[in-house]
Amino acid sequence: MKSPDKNPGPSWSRLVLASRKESPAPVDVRYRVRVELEKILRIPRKDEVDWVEALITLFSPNPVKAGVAAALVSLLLVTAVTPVDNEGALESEDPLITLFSGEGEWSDWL
Amino acid sequence: METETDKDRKLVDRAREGDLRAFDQIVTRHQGMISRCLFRFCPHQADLEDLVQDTFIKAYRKLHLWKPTAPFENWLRRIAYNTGHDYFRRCKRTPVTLASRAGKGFPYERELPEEKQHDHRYQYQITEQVQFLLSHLPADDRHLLTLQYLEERSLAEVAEITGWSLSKTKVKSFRAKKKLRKYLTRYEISG
Repeated sequence: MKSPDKNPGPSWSRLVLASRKESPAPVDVRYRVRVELEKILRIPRKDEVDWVEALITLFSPNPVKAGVAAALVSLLLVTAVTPVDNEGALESEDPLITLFSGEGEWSDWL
Repeated sequence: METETDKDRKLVDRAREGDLRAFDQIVTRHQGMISRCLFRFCPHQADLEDLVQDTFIKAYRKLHLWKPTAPFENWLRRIAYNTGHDYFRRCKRTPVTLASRAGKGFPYERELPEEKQHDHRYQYQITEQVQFLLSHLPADDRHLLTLQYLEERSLAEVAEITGWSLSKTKVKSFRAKKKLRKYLTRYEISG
């Protein structure tokens, strides 16, 4: 059985002395520091896509103008080439128009 | 023969001109010393790495202020101490692993079991316990006593690091120790 004298409570000076003997695990922050510095200095990394830069390029004046022009030309071409016959469709569906176009007796509607 | 200070000066000159590889070498040369300093402030690996990184980023930003008349290592160490002080101000929480046991008396463990002695997760217990006790004090007092007790800095050195006058440092040290004694008594720790 242990004697209480051999197991005294903790003391501040003993804690401080023991703490001084402790040392940290090796730390290597070279890569982290480099990445952070490159961010600060705005140096694009080769292995990273700079999305902000890509978006700015995409919406910079010249590409925007060219894009809008291309979209308008495409719209005009599509409008010119595609036949739209809404009236015909309406006529065939309306019974009154069908009646007046020659089939049936118009006075039935009176 | 080229001294360590000469090597540092050359690297700093190149880094000031924008050579990041030179700064990489500065980090390689001094990160061990900086991590040992900051470990006294923060015995948690993840936070410690953040603090070491912060120290080098601050150093890079202030590189133009370093004068070759003083050793670069001392200048860097001073930045590390300020980073530690900022950490105390920013992060008033007690060490995580001890905080949950704080209400149950001081979590003192005399010796680590053999199987844990070589595991870094368990090796910082004493520093963690010391910081647990110091964490009850305001950031300035905690900083001062960390420098005095754990970094073994004299009052004159503490005064130089903190920018306080020597007499102010003496008074603050006396008062901080008095406050600490109150908590040592609470946790039944002798002086």
